Amino acid sequence: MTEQAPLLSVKNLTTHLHLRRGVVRAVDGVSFEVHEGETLGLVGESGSGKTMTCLSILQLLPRHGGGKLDGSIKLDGTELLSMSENEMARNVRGQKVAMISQDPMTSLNPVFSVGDQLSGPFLYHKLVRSVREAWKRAADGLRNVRIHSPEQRLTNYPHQFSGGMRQRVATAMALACSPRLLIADEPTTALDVTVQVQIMSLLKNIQRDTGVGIILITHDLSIVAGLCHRVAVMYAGRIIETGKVRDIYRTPGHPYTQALLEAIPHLGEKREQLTAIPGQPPSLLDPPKGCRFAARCPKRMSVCDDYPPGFEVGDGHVVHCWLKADQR
Amino acid sequence: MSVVPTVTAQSNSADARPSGPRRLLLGAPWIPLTVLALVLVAAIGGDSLSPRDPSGLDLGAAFHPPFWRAGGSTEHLLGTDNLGRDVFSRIIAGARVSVIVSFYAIILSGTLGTLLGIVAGYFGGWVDATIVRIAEIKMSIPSLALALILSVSLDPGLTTVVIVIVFTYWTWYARIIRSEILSLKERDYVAFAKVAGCSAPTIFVRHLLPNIFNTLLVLATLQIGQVIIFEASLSFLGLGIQSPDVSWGLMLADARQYITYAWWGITMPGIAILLTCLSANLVGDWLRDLLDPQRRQL
Amino acid sequence: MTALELRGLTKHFDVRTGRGRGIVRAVNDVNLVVPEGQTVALVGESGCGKTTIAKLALMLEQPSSGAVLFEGKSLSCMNRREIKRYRRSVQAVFQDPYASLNPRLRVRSIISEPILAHERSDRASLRKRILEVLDIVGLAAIAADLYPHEFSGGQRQRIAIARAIALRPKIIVLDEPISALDVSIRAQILNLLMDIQKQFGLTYLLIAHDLALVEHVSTNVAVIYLGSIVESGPSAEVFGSPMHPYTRTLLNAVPRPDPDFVPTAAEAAEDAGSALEPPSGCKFHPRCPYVMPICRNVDPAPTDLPDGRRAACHLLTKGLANGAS
Repeated sequence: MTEQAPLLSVKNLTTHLHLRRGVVRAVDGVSFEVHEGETLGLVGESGSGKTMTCLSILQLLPRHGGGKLDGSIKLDGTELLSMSENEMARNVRGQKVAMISQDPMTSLNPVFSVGDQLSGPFLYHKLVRSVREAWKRAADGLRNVRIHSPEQRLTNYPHQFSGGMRQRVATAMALACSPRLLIADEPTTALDVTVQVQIMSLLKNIQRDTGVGIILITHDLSIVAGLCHRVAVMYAGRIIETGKVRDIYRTPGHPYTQALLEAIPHLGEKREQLTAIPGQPPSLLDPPKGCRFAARCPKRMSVCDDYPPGFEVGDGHVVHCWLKADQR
Repeated sequence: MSVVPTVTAQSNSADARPSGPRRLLLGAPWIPLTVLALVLVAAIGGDSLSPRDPSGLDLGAAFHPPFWRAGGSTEHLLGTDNLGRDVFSRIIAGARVSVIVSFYAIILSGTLGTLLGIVAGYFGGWVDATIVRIAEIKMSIPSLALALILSVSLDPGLTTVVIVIVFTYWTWYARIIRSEILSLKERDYVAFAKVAGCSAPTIFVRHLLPNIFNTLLVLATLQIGQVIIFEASLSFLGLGIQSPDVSWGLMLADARQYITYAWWGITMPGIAILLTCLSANLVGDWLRDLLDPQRRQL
Repeated sequence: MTALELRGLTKHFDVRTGRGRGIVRAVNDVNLVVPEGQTVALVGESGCGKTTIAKLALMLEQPSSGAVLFEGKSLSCMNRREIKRYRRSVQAVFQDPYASLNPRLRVRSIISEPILAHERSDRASLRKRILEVLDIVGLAAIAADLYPHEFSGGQRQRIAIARAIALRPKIIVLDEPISALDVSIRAQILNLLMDIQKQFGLTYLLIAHDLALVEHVSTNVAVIYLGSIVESGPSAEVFGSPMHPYTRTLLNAVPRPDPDFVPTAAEAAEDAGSALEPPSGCKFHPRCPYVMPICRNVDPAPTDLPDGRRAACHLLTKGLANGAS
């Protein structure tokens, strides 16, 4: 898998947002790759830039915020940043890169039946010749996301589906044009655990069948464990650690990753007190020059005033922390 | 306790801003404020400020154009109307009616409508149903027809205009405030106030009123314009202000038929109405920002 | 000592649906004892009625039948003075720290609200008490004069906690107190809640959907499915050897930070039924992997088990529990 050229290659991506209170680098020099059939978990808390990274890939930044992108985003070797808005809309968004969001209701229009909406992309991208054919494809889509009796359910409206079912429909919509890359932004946060498991296994099965590359955005490390091949941990606009999923969970290198894993209670292991991470993430308006986690880090050193480069501590396991400097 | 978080960065910048009275003046919309002040002065000063008698007939001087036009003179700054009355003086005199009508109409219809809206929204049940039904019945009657009925059964004049407007506009407030309250009362902080043991009046004053204030302010400033126009239409139909009293609406009505050759007769009071409404809206926006803790510190 | 008891608590809502009127059976005959100084958790999926139970306990809703008992006395039989005393003793922290603080009030007014509702207090002593609770929740004194929007989510939740403990209540109802917060902040708030529980001997009624959190903090747990308790008892027992198939389903679905853990997604497990049209018999039977003919017709009665647990499942009465697992 690694010998192949990556499906998506993001290099040194920087996203500037012009807010009322100043310019913010919401994404600050982020690089990663996603291969075909691979799932990358993008983990971070709110404001860490994980969602902004993915909106940058799709170039869907808030327009009035005057977002400016630097760096390089290559999909199948084609540079996306030099594409026109028109090309992005016609050939990339929804076609090659699709997205599912936390709240499936935002991607479904309440006044049209699910069938109307699911058949839309086929007609829009001229993949079928007739409406009847489009509906047939839509039914296939619902079948792929394991919805029973798809032909009947196509005539239903979004509110007639439960939360988990809606997320399935939204997934079917995202997969309509057989995208190469699927961005899933907290797809299960609003769902119950029992439904969460179903959606996760659905994504896994779809990936096995279609080889789609997936970027899974989440704030919860426990969710990505079962699904991801590789994990990138973001903090205050930067990726601070990336590696294979086992390395991240078994031997987390960055103190932030370690703290995240220790800060949440785990089923079946009773602890007196949880190890809390003190303080708050830094403001992106005026980020610290050095390591951005330094102010909250229990292992802070004087060298942390300079930003640590990536140190490779294992096969593809890169940690941005001075503690790993000697292991190189 | 393992952590003592400090207050976030935004708050520090807020401390650097001027506080108290100085903050009030920061970014105030000076031009609209001046316009409103002038209207208020005109309303209070009235006749004593007018350069000429606003209802003094002088048929020989009819249809004098404003001073900057050929044939105009500084004697009649904004020209004269069909009866030779000085337009400038009449605008000053008319301000009184506009201010009085807007003031009473807004205060009375706002208070009535808001109270009914709060009661309906907060208590629900049959109280809500009754108030909503009455409002619906009222709204099913065209407001001008209602105004006509009221005006003929009462004597035309200032009081009638105010009564008619209050009767027409309370449903505006009641409906919008009711729906605001319906969503506000489901807020967690209202639930918490109940849990804390606060009485219904305390919840009204602390949690509901401040949060509907924005809406009230916007409604009221929008209503200023509507009230002035409404008074104009009533006066136009001869059911509102009666000559020799002056109002901007009456001026519009009087000058309408001469619009082709004495445009100033209708344009000048029109500009007065426009400037007043616009200024009221701008000042309303500013007040809303000023009173919202979240906006004023951004 | 029992701090709070729910006895036969039932709440039905009349609703208008597309096909006329219906009744949502949000809470059905719930019996639960909340011992003093302990944490009792209510867990279940969204829409199972756990929040309605919290609202009933907070007197934000009136039960259709049954009662909430405080110190042995039913809330619905209390006179004004007793209700006032109950309000004093029971406070709450809600899920969304953005919705639970009035944006137009300064922090000091927010915290003083419950105090002023119950006692007369002069400015100086009020200020002292505000600063005291702010200190307990780990906020600096300067916070008192700021507005809620100037704080982050975690800090807002600290303010909400400060408000809840301002009156030194006996019981705090925690409705998903950390689920809206960032992962890195959750442990701070959780530790704070556990610290003040120890410090003031508080009793917690915790509403949560996160089972790992519940296992971590609660002494007793009640698992709710479509308005009824299906299993309740000491947390160690319930989590260690779940008796009811629903408890097992829930536990198996909890994500774990372990790449080698594969959660068992019951493929047949459809979404939860609706409280508007609950299934006949045992409400869990359409999703239950061990469903038997009797489950479709007869709602199982709760059975007391020797380890202090209660569960409502036909498997238990038939003595098949172990065989099935």
